[in-house]
Amino acid sequence: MYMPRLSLYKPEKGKDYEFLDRQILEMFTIGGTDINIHKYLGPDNPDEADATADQPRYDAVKETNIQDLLFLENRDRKYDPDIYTMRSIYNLSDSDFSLSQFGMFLDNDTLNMTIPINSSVKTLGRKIMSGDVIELPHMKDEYAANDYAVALKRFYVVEDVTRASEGFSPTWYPHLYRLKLKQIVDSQEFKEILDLPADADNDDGTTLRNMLSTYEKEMQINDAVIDQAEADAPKSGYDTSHYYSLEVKSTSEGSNAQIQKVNNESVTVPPSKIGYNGYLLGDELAPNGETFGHGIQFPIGADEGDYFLRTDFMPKRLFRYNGKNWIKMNDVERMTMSNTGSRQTQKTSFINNDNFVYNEKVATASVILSKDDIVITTAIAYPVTALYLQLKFATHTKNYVIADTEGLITSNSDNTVLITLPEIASVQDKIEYDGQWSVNFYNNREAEKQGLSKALRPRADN
Amino acid sequence: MDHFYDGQVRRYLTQLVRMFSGFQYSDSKNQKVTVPVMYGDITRQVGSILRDNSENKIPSAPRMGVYVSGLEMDRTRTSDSSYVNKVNIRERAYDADGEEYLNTEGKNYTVERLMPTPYNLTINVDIWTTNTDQKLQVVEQILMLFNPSLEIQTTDNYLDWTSLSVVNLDNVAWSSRSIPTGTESEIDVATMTFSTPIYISPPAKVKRLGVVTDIITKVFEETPVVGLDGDSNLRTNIFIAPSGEVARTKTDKRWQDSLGQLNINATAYQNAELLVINNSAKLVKRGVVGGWKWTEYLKGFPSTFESGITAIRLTRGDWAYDIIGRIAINPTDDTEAIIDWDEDTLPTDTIIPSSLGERNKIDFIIDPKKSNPQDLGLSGNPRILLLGDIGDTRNVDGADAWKNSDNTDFIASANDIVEWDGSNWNIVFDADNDVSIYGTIYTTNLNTGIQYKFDQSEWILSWEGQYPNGTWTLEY
Repeated sequence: MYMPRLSLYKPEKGKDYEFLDRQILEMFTIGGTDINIHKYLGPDNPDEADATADQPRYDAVKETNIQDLLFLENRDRKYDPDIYTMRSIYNLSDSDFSLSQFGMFLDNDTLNMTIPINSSVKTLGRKIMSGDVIELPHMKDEYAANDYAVALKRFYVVEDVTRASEGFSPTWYPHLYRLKLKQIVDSQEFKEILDLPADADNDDGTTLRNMLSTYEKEMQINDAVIDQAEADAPKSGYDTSHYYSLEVKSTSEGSNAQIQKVNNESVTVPPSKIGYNGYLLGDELAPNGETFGHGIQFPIGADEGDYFLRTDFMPKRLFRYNGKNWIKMNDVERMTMSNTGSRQTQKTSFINNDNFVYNEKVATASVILSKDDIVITTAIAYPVTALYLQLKFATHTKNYVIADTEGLITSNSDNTVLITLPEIASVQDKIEYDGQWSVNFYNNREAEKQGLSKALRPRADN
Repeated sequence: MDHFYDGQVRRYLTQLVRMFSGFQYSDSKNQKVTVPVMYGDITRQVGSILRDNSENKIPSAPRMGVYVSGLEMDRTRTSDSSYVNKVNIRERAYDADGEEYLNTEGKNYTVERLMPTPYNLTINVDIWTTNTDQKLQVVEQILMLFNPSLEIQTTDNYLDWTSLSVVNLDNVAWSSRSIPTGTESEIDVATMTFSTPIYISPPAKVKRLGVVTDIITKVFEETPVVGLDGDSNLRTNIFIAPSGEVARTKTDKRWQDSLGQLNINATAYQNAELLVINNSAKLVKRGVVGGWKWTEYLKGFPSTFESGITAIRLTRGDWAYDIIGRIAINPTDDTEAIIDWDEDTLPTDTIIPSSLGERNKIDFIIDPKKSNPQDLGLSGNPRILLLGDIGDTRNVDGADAWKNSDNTDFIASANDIVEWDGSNWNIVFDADNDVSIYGTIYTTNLNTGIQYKFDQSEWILSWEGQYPNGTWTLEY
């Protein structure tokens, strides 16, 4: 009779393994620290219309999905709203801040943490993986320099998961995972976590991002610098609005300032041009601070020397009346140099462009309207089936998406279309100009601004 | 050397931060996030403040950092370092109380700008992103702007001739990471290198507007060259018109004196002449009195006319000092200026003694053959300037009106000043003989307030009359 050969290794995980695993778990319970895990669920699925071959829409959100098959990255990550708690052990180490141009970074911010394999899988429902985010409750900072009522939490993201070498028992089976952790940044990837309330028990709208991220402070700094830049140079070109221009008449003996009598006072004649030369001087102001009108049509009964800004020109154009004709003074060339959504230089007009091209006209009518009108009576039979409404006066248009504007189209008593202009951002929309307007209903519109690769591409096989 | 700092490089950096601000990236839900831009070389202390003094604070990404990586002098753009450029500026009037500019003319200045020094400023813009798609979104928006360069402006001050520059994209370091990524998944940093030709300027000189409207020195006085006619010896007078243009005019031949020497003291703006009558002054344009309106004429001057403050100066060869008055424009006739003469600048009346004492004024001017002094209602001891002769030694019985108390005839000549001493008429100034005693004599007629002077052989208005071009000027 032979004794079985002594071997702690067995082809299967036996009782020895289970015994050791329980002891190891107990060691984590006794000597470890809690960690809260935000479980990564997978990349956000794009809408059907936005999905492409290399950024596909999957049947379900799964952690094995890859959002971008070209760049091989998962940018828009979804996390389980439930938070999983388990124990972990890691070696604390001192770290210094490293100053880079992007701020202060922890120089040695990589943690190597161990967690029990079986327990973690049982808790999470899967093996912990890269992309899971771990919160260390024992690393809360109650004394950060802010006014928040709650302490700042410490978050790490799992970068790598391996089996820890020290986690192998004499059975040669592993009991521990070694997690390589790095502190998260406020980025697209962790948006879902940072959008969580800072204090779930007392949600006052403050998110984790508000508390943890430097983003708001950075934007405030950025905005302050932009404010200063705008104070230094509000617009391109040069400001001559505070300079005085004389209307002069040149003679063989020199130049004479032109004078006229106004209310029995001698004043200079409104100049017919800016008295200064330079690059981009045209602004939306008449010279010498003279009053001027503006609109899309010249006024009737103007006096000689009157100024008028035509806002329907691109760029806007200032005119001066010489008693017979409106003479061009200057184009409004000056423009903000900040990258705002309203900047309309030649180049930025291709980017800051929310215009549409309207097609498939359904019905049209002409109406005489007065400035500040709100209700428009038309001769178009009600109901009218259309998606879009456009009101047009000369070059000026007002556009509405009918479905988005409640009460825009109603029936008049004679079964014609009655248009009631809506309130937009709590401001009553009104007709801007007296005159003959056209009312047009359309069923199709195309955005003017389209990527060059997508503009007018075939929508189907042809 | 005095301290000077205008924050010129700082303004370039401010504008560069602005240039790269406002770009956004979009996530899969089409939510836009603006990318913050900051100066890259932050201090450790501010870095700590940004982190709320806590290790738990997390930096945001993407983000851009702008910093200077080089500054070199650009010798290819150096120019005449002594060149001074002048700009003439008329400001609108400013209401300090309302803190607004008015639509009337205000102060006027000439600004002198010295040639600035050219440099090339090299800027790095680091774009920190956490994924490639994010990086491409940001980079694409920036790259399309540089075709071939982007304008930058540090100020919109019309006078700053160095404020406009361009930013050129010189280089793009696509990634700071090694490919393939090793054991570290570091943040990706793309570095764009830009160069900007800039100027560093010394301070400008802001001076009172230096447009020349009249020339008041004898710069044209010279001795003609023998053999040349008068015109050839007259220089062309070059001046800057109020419009800022250079104009020229010939000095007036009238100003040659009897010796053929040019004796031009000054030229008035537009060569205007002036007619002064008592406290009224009118401009004379090509012999037409009132040919110019003062309102129109004064607009040509660099300084602002201030009614009752602006002075007029009359220069006379027979009076050592300028005659000065403060002028205001007649509100009902702007061809006329009302002048409040400074009495202290007018020629003083000459004291003429008599047996009754010293006096420097006369009471009347009369033609003795037409006016009876008794009819003038004179009392006391009047002094009268005679416009004609009275009496004659050949007369047996002269005019009763001019008889003395003892019934003797009084004899005097034209231009004499005579005085009644209570019983007899006496000559106190003998026009034929006393000139050598007094020289030029001034006296004021108390009846009209007009001053006269005796010019060798006749009494004339002492300072009223027509002042030719160059003998009068305005003082602001």
